[in-house]
Amino acid sequence: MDHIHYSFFIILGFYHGVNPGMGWLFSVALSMQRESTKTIFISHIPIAIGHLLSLIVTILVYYVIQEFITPETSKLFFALLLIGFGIYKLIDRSHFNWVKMNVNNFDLFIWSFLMASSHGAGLMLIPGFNYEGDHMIHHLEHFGFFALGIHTLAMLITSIIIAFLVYKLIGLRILRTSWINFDYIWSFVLILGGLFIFFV
Amino acid sequence: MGLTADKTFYPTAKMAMEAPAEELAYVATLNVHGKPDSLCTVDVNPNSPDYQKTVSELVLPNVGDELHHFGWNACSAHLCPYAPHPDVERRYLLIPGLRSSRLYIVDTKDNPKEPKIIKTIEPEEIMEKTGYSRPHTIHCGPEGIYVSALGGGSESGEGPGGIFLIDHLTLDVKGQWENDRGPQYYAYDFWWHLGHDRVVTSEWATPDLFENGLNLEAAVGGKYGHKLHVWDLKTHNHLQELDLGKENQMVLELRPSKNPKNTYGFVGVVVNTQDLSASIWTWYLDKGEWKIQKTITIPAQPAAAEELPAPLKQFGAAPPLITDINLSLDDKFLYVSCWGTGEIIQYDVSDPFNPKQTGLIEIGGVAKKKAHPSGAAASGGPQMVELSRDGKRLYFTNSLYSSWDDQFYDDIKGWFVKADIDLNGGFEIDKDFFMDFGDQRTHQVRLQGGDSSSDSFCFPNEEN
Repeated sequence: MDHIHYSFFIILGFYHGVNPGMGWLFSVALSMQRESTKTIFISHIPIAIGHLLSLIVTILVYYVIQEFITPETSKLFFALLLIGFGIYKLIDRSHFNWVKMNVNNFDLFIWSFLMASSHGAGLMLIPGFNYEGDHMIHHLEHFGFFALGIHTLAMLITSIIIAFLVYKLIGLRILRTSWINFDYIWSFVLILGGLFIFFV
Repeated sequence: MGLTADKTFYPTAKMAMEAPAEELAYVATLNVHGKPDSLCTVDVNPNSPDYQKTVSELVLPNVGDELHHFGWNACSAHLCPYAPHPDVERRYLLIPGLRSSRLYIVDTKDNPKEPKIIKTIEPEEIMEKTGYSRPHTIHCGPEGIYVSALGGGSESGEGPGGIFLIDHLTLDVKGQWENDRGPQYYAYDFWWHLGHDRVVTSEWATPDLFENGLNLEAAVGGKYGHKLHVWDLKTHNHLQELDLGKENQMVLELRPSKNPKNTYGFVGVVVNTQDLSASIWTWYLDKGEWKIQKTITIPAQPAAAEELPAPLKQFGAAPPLITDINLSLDDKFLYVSCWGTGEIIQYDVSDPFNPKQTGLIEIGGVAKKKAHPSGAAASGGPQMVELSRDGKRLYFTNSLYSSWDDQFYDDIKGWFVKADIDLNGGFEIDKDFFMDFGDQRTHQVRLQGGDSSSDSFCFPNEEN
């Protein structure tokens, strides 16, 4: 596993951590509601576990599919899947919203799992597994879990830092001044990933 | 969908008080002379050449809708952290016809001064998809757009009434909100404590008790609503019933604290059948149990029989009849509209259990018939009150509901009035602001960009 490969998973971890829909904003709201800085850290445990589990499920499915199709078919299939999902997320703006503010750690875990899954967080990582420049990818037990681990760690650290800064220093005004539509960027990254699988 | 957040959304209620002053007000007007109702757009920007003028009137295509508490498709609740989507725009007003059960959706984006109807949801569709009729109040919220409906899904509107949902993206009717409604039967207003996943609903009555006017006999018999209901926002199940007692008839507008950390709110009771007083009650959470207590009593005012309308002559007094209340975004001031006595009273409710009166204005009233300070005659009394987000301007109108208007007042002429507020307490009617709407009876007001009763918030107020 080379540096580019490392960077891919870490950078996407950083990106997922920055996205307010993946947890930091929820963590800030809960900390405010409970008036507890500790909540920033504690709430991130179920958020990170939910995120990681969603990735593991996606990548396991990815590996299972590899058993049944040729590498060429796989390349085409996943390229189209990512591009298709990216476009679908651009068009379909609906989202689940039955999770509310009064949550315990288990609710947060489920919420994080579903947010990551419904946004295709795991799909976004597939280009890293499909990258043929590195033969290590075929050793799930060596590489796969490690890759998901460093991704989630990067996501966790980023998310905690942002949540902490917003809660302690910056304040919520940032939501009015610095919000950009993460859904658009998210779709764009998925489509880019699909193109990467196809052409690289 | 925008690339950035809608600038009218604020994460906390206190931050929303920094909002710029409104430039337009949307006023629903009722026409009782065989003509359709309208949505009037009023210029409220003092620096505009059209200040205090109706800059456009959207005349609805049907007669007899009786427009009531309309509201926005989206609001600050779209910043809620479990599904943050502040790119959804506040642009559509959903306008319910209480008498017709029809619901209009108008777009204010292309030209805010001239809203256009983009969709009409017919009564049949509402009845069929939701099992309700007589839509009354709109609130944007965590699962889309919520609409309270006072009648069941038949022509007669036999209960129970309740809440239905409209999808905030497609604007399609989704269906009934309740899962297990428990003993709840009457509906009216609803609102929530977003930080605690609790919904509170109130009770007016079913259509048989209000469409043809106030049924005095039924009121004396305690037949109108006198309870609040607490629900789980997540499961849509009924949790608890709070009974204010049969003598407290018609429990209407709900104003929970705007800070989602808090667990209290205020509700107005129209009339106590024993002494004709009106009252404000404070509900609160106490060790896991919701409770309610009376915190303001406004007594009836003695008046000579010849000064009073027919239904009140026998009592020799004018009842205050609290028909609307409004709470400032910092939870500091509560405005209570007494449609019967022609007063709006301002209370400091910093301590929600010990409100202190800090101001009073007078206009109209069944007995006093007080003129506007400009000298203009003011029929009716102050009814719907809307407060600007910064808490500095209060706008109000004078019509309640056509058949009730006619019982209490002779020939109400619509007006739209403003009062200026001292944020340290006290307020007075702006003597230079009186808009005469003539035969058009004015009802609900919404302010461009939002107002003090249009939004709900998921984030508690920040310390500084």
